[in-house]
Amino acid sequence: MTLPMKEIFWRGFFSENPVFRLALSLCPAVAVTNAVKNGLLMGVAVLGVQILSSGTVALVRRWIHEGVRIPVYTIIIALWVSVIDRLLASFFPEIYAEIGLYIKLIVAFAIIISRLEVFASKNSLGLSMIDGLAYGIGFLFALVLISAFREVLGNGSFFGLPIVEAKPILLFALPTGGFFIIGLLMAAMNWIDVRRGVKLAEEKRHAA
Amino acid sequence: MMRTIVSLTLVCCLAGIILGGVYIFTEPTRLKVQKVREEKIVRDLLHLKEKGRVVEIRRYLKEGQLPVVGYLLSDSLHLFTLEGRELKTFSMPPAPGDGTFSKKRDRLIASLFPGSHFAGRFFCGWDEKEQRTGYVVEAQEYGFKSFIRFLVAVGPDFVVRGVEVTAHEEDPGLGAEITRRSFKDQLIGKHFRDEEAWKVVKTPSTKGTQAVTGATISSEALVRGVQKAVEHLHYRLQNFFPREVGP
Repeated sequence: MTLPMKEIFWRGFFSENPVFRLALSLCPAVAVTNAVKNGLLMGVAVLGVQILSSGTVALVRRWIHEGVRIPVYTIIIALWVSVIDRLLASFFPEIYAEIGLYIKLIVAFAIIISRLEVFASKNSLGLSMIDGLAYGIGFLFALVLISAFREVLGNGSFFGLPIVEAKPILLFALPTGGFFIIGLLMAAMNWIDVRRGVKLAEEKRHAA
Repeated sequence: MMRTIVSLTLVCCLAGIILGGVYIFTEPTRLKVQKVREEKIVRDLLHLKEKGRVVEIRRYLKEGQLPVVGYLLSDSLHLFTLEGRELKTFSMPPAPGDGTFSKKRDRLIASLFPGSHFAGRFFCGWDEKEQRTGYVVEAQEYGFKSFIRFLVAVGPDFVVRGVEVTAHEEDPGLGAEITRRSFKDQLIGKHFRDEEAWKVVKTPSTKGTQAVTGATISSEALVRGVQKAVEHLHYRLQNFFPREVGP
């Protein structure tokens, strides 16, 4: 299975976006996205763990016994999460104070394990890391987009800076609002897809 | 079957070894960083300048038929009954205060005060003119998900001078907002006996403490914890160190 790099990237970013398309890891996507800063930091942390785990699995995939591959993937993810957690706590305490809270949550992310199972366990190191990068960026993009809507509507601010004077709609800062926003964004992405599909079909008709 | 058991065991052992290595490698740095951070927080909370002095007082407890409580000052260990009657006093080698002493001191305490365990600690601060500026007490309270650990500073009059949350696992954006100044600085100026001031309210009001929106449980936990911590500190100082209390 060889895919051109551009296609791998586009797939992770848009056509198979972890949150909007695969609807994976929705729980953390709702939990941390009530402010852009939170969404961004979580996204970056997931991106790092995804690339490292994909790379590790791609390297050791030959020796992983078929019957225990899922527990082994979980151990690999947990290992990377713990290592990053410890290193940040010791050498970058300022950064850790900001994102320490998010890092431990990553162990249970469905999106990471799904990429290990679907892609990294069957592909080379380079491709797997690019795949991890693509899906990580897709997840980061989704979190930032959701949190931007939620922070502006629910808190009247953007990245902590107040921008709206009116009384914010608290609902959007709460988990309920998170699901609404994700649903609406999903619908918007489907609509874009449908439009693109229609356009492609028209082009094809013209060409024929 | 055998192969899966062996391979999974091997993977777990390997992961364990790697984690152990990382732990050994990072732990000393982490402790040092934590110590430095903590000292800075304590000094900031007490508004101490360069020349000010902070003493850490650790509390040890031995449970049993007749519980014994021990207070470790910088160069002495005092044992009391729970009623505040002094049982014994040991002199200790002074703490070097760079974070490396803990293991050696722990062993010494285990031999002087067998069967005891560490039960908490507080700090006492003096400014450059040797005037006592206040106390900082470390405490924890169960929040929404796990323990919220914090430091509370009080003046010699037991009025809160500042609160700093040092560790918590509340939800980012909801419970985690209790670490914001806008919330925790509401507690400044409150006396622990003034019950009205510690009531958590959900709407803006002049009395009481306003909860973080969407995080009433975390807010209540911190407020309750801070009040309790100050109350306990007051009780301990009055019962065990009468000379340390008062203006």
